[in-house]
Amino acid sequence: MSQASTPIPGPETRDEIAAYDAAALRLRSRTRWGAAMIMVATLLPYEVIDGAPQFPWHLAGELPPAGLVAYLGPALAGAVILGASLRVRSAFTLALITLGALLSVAICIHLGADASAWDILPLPDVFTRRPMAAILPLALVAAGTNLSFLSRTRKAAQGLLVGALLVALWFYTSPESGGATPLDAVAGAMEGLITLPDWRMRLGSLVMATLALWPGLIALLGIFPMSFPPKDDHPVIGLVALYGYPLLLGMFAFRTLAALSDPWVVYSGVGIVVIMVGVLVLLTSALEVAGDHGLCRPDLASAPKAPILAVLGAVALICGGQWALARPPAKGVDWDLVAASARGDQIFGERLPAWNAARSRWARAAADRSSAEAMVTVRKAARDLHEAAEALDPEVAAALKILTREARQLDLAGRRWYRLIGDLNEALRRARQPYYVDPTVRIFSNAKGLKRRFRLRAYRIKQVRRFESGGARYAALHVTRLDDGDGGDTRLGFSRDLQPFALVAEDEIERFRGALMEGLQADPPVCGTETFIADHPAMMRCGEALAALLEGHDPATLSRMIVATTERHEIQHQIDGPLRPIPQAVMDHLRRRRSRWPRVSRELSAYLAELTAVDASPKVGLIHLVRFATSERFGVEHDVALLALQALSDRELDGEDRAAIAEIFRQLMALDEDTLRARAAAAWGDLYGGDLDPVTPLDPAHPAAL
Amino acid sequence: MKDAYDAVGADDDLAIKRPARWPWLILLLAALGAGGYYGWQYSQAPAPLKILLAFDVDGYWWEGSTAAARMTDEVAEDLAALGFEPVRAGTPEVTEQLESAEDLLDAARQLKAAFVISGTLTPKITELPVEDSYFEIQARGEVKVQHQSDAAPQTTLPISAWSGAKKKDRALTLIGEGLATRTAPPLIRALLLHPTLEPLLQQQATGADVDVLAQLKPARDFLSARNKTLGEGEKAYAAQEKRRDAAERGPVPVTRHSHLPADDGLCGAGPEGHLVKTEPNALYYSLSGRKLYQLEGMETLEWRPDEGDVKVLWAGYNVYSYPSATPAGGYPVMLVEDLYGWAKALTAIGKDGQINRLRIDPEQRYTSPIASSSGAYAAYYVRDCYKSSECPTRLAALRMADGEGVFEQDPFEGSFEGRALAGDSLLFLHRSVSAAEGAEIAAPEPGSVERSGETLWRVDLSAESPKAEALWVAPTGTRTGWLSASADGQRIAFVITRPEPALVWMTLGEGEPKIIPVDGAPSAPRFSPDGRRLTFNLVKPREGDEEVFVLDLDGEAAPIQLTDNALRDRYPHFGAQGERIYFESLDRDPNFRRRYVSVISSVPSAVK
Repeated sequence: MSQASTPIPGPETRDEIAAYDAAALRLRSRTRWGAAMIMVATLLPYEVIDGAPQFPWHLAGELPPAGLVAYLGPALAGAVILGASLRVRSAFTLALITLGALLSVAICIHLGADASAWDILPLPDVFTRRPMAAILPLALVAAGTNLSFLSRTRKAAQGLLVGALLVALWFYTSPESGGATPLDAVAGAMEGLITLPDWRMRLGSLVMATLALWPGLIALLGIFPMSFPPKDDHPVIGLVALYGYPLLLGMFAFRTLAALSDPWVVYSGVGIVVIMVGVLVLLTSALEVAGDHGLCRPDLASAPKAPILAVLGAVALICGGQWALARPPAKGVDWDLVAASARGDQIFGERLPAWNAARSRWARAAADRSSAEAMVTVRKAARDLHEAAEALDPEVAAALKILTREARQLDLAGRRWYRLIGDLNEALRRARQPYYVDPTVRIFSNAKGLKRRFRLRAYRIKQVRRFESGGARYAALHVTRLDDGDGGDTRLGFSRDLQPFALVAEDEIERFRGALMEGLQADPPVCGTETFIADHPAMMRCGEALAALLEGHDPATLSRMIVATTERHEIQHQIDGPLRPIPQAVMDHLRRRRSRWPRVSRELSAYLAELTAVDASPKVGLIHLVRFATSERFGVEHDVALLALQALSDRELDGEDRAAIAEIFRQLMALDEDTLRARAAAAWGDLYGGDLDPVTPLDPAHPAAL
Repeated sequence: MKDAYDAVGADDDLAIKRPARWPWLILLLAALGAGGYYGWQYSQAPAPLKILLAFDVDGYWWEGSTAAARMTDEVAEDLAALGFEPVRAGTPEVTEQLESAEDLLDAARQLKAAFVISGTLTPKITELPVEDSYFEIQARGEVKVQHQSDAAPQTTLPISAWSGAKKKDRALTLIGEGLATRTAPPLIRALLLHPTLEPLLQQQATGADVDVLAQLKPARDFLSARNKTLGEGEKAYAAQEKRRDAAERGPVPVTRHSHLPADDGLCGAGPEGHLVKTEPNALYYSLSGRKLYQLEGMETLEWRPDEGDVKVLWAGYNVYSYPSATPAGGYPVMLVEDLYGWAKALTAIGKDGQINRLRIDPEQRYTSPIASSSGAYAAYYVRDCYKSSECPTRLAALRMADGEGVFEQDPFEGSFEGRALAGDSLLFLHRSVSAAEGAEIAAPEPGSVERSGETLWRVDLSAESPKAEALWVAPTGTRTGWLSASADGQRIAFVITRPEPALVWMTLGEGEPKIIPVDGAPSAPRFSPDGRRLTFNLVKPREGDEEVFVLDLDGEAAPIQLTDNALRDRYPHFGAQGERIYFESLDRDPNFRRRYVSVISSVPSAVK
C-alpha cells in the first residue's frame, strides 16, 4: 500500500501549523550549529602540563583505544549529526540519528571512562562525572515544556517531564565512579554555607550548591507546565531549562577570566559551556521532534521503522565495539630468568638512574631558563647507558634508545612514560633479563601550574610466581631494589592496574622483618619500631602475640610468611582492578573524607584477602593491621585497619576505643588459623558481595627463603 | 515511495526568498584574508630583544660541548636578568632548530630572535704532570653580535679565559663559566649600542617601543653604572700616573714601559729585552655584585723588547717566586711553576721555547732558581713543606744536561743569605747558628759550613764530588746578602747591611773583596754586561723607599743616584748594552687600596 494515499493529518489550528514547522525547522537548524558546537570538543586540551596544552592529537598514541574513542566521541557525533542534517530530509529520521549519536556518545564515554580507570591517564573529570545524566533532565524539561504548548502533544510532553523527574532522581541518588552521589556534593556545599568563616567562601558554596541542584530544580519546575500549559511555543521554562545551566557555568568561566587564571583553564571552561549548549539544544530539539512524531501522531503505525532499526543497530554496533575495546588489560606473565650479571646491575643500578636524574634536572631547568648544560649532561648519560646496554642485549639496548630519545620531549605525558618503560620491561622479559624498571609520575601543582616529575626505580627480579584465581591467571615478581636514586620505598609490595603482574619487594620485607624483631626486644615488646600511640593496649598485646607466633620458629619463617601475605595482598589488587564497587561500610566510616573512599576500599579488600593466604599464618596479617590501628599516623591504612577489624569482629568500632580494639585483636588472635581465614573470607563477602575467589599458586615451589 | 514525513522541515519546502549572501561572504573572506596575512606577518617578525646565543667552545652545546653549554647558560642568565630574552637553549624545540638550520642566522629567524650572538673560542687543553693528572684549559677567541638586519656582525669582542681542574669535564665547565663572566658585561654594552636599540634609548619611545624601553631599564641602569664606575677607575689610574711622573726628581728621565694597573715583576734583562713575569688584569664591573673588581688572567713570563713584539715564554696559573735569565741575560730561563697548588715544578725554558720540567713534586717548594751563563748548571732553594719555619731551606744545584743533582747543602739551622752561579762555580753566603748568636766563629774548613759564621762559600760544580770552600769570612756581627755574579763569572757582588752598610765586590781569585760604604740600606746589586759597573737599590735613611743607584767599579767615584721619587724602585737590571737600567716601580693601586701595582721603568745608566 502506498503511503502517499494515506492522508497526512493536518494541524488543527494556524498556531499548531507554525509550531509544528517551527520544531522541525529548529531541529534542522540546530543540528547544524549545535553539531558544530559539540565538535569543539576536539579543540579542547586534554590537560595542561607546564603551561603547554595537551590536545588529543598529542595523546593519540598514548590513550587506550577506548579512552580515545570516548574523548573523540562528542566530535564524531557532531560530525555525524552535521552530515545527517545536510543529507537526511526527514525530520523524524534526523531526530533519531541525533538521539542515537548522543546515546552512543554517552555509552562510549561511560565505557571509555571505565577502561581509562585501568590506565595511567584517566579521562578528565568532565567525562567521568556522568555529564549526560545531568544534561538529560534539562533537555527533557525543555522539550516537554515546548510540546505542552500543543494540545495534541501534551501527553508526550507529560511523559518527557515525568521522565525528567525520574532521570534527575536517578542522577542524584546513584553513586559516581568515586562512590559519592551528587546529593553528597549538594550536602557538602550546603554544609559549607553554615560552616565556612568568610562570606566570599559562603557565596562560593551557594553557587556550587545551585550548580549541583540545578538539574533537580529544573526537573521539579517541569511539573508546572503539566498543569498549566504554556501559552506560546517558546515558554520561559523551556528557555530556562535550555540555557540556564550553560549561563551559570559561563558565569564561572567569566569569573576565572576575571581572576586572571591560566588562559587554558578559561579556554577549556568556555569550550565546555559551548559543548554543553550544543548537546542541550540538539537533545531538546531531537526529543521534541521524536516525541511529537513518535508518540503523538495518529499514523504512528505507518511511521517508517527502517530508520529506527538502522539507528538502533548503529548504536548497538558502536557500543559493542567500544565495549570490546574497553576490556580490562590481561593479567599474568611468563618471565623466564637468566642469572643477574655485573653489567646488568651496572646498567639498571647506576647508569639508567643516573640518566634519569640528569633528565629530571634538565626538565626542571628547561622549564624556566636556559638549560644547555643540563641537556648536554643528559645526552652524555644516555650515551653511557647505550654503550653499556649494547653489550647486554640488542633488544634491551634498542628499548633504552627509544626511551632516552623520546624522553627528550619535555611534555612527556604520564602514560607515555609508562608505555616507554613498559616497552623496556617487555624487552627485558623477552631477553629473559632479571631486571624490572618501575615508572612513576609525580604530579603536583605549584605557582607555575601543574608539574610532573618522571621517576623510575630499578629492581633485580629474584623470581616470578604465577597464580590462578577465578579462571584467570596472575603473576607476582619478587624483586630487590638496585638503585637508591630517589630515596627509599617502604612498600612491601605494589601493584598497578595497567601491568600484568604485581611486585613483592623482598628487601623491604627483610627490613620490615628486622623492625619487627627489633620491636620484640623492647620492654614491653611491640610490633615494630615506628611511633605508635603511647601505651595503646592493642600494641601491648601485639608484641606478646608476635613473640608467641614466632616461638619455636627460625627467623626466616617470619620473612616467608610476610612474603606470602604480601603476595596475596598484591594479587588481590590485580584481581580487583579499579572498578570494584565501594562498600557501604567504607562510605559510612569515611563520611567526611570522600576522597579516601576509593583507596580505602581497594586496600581493605587486599588486607582482608591477605588474611586468607594459604602459605602463611593469617595472624601475621592481623599483626600488620593492628600496627596500623595503633599508629600515630591516621592515614589510609589506619582507616583500613579499623574497618577490617570491624568486619572481622562484626561489631561497630570507634577508633578512639582503644580497649575495644585490643579486645578484638585478642579475640581474633585466639582463633585457630583456618577459622581466621574463613572469617576473613566471610568479611570480604559481606563487604563486597559474592565470594572471595581463592588464589592458587601454579608453581610448585614455595617462595624462596630470603 | 515517499515517507509520510519526508520534506517536513526540509529546506526545499521553504519557499522564502533569501537575500543574496555572496557579497557578505566575499567581504568576510577578504577580512579573514587580510587578518590572516597581518597575523602571519606579526607571528613571523623577530622579537626585538630575543637573542640566540651560539658559542663554539670545542663544539656547540647541541653538539655536546660542556664548555659551550655552560657559557651559553651563564650568558643567557645574565642577559635575562637585564631584560633581554635569550632563546631558551636546551629545550627540544630550540635544539631541533639549531641542528637542522642552515646557519645561525637561519636558526635565529626560525626562532624569531632578532640578534645572534656567536663566537668561536678555541680551547687549549693541557694535561699537567701531577699525580692523578690535572687539566689546564686556556681559551681565547671572539664573540660577535649580529642583528638579523645586519649584513655582517656589528661588534666583535675579544674574549679569553682559563681554568684548571682535576677532571677534564670540570675544567671544561669552568672555562665556560669563565668565558661567560668575561663576555656578558661588554656584550650588554654592544647590544644596547646596536643601531636597532640605541635610538630607542636616546629618544622618546612611542607605541610598542615603550614596552621595549621599559624592559631594557635594568640593562640601561647596569650599563650606566658600569660606565661610571669603570670611567672613575680608569681616571684614578691616569691621575696616579700623572702625579707619579710629575713628582719624579731624579737626574735622568724615567721611561715607563708598562701602565697602571700592571702587575709586572722584573726578572732579568738581555738581548731580547727585559724579562717580565706579569698577570694581565683589567677593571671589571660585576653584574652580580654591581661593584668594581680586578679581572685577573693567566700569568705569563715574557721578553719585552723596547720596540717590537712581546715574546711570551710561558703562560700558566702562577709563577712561584721570581724567575731568572742567566747572568748574561739569556737562556735557559729558569722558573718555578705552581701547578694549581697540586705540585711545584722547577722548569727551564730553552731558547727554542722548549719547556723542560726538571723537578715536579707535590710537597717540595722550589724557589729563586738561577742558571749559569753557560747554561750548564742551575741552582735553587728547596724545602719540604709550605712554611719555612717548619722546614729548613736547602740550597741545591743540578746539571742541566741530565737534570742530575750535583750538590745540596743543608743550612744546619742557619740560613742562606744569597747565591750566584759564576762560571761552573756556585757561590753562596751562609749565616751559621753561631753567627746568629754572635758567638766566636770557628775558622771555616772545607765542608764545615755548620760551624762557620757569616761566610762566602764557593763550590766547584764540575768537580767529581763538589765541596763547599770558604772564600771570605765576614767579621763578627756582619750581616750580608744579595749575592750576584757578572756575566763572565769573574766578578761577584753582595751587600753588607750591618754593622756599616756597604757594597762589596770582588774579582774571583784576586784576593780580598772591596767594601764600598753607602749611606742607607743597599740591596739587589747587579753587574753591567761588561762587569765594570754595578746597579743596586738603596733605601736612604729617613726616606723609606728604594731608589736606583749605579756605581763605576773601576773608578773611585761614589755611587750615583738615578731615581728620586716616592715609589719603590727596585730590582734593577742593566739592559743588554748596558746603556739603560730597568727596574720595577711599585705603588699602591688607587682603586683597590690593599693591592699593589708594579710597572717596569728604565733610566739611562749614566748621568750626562
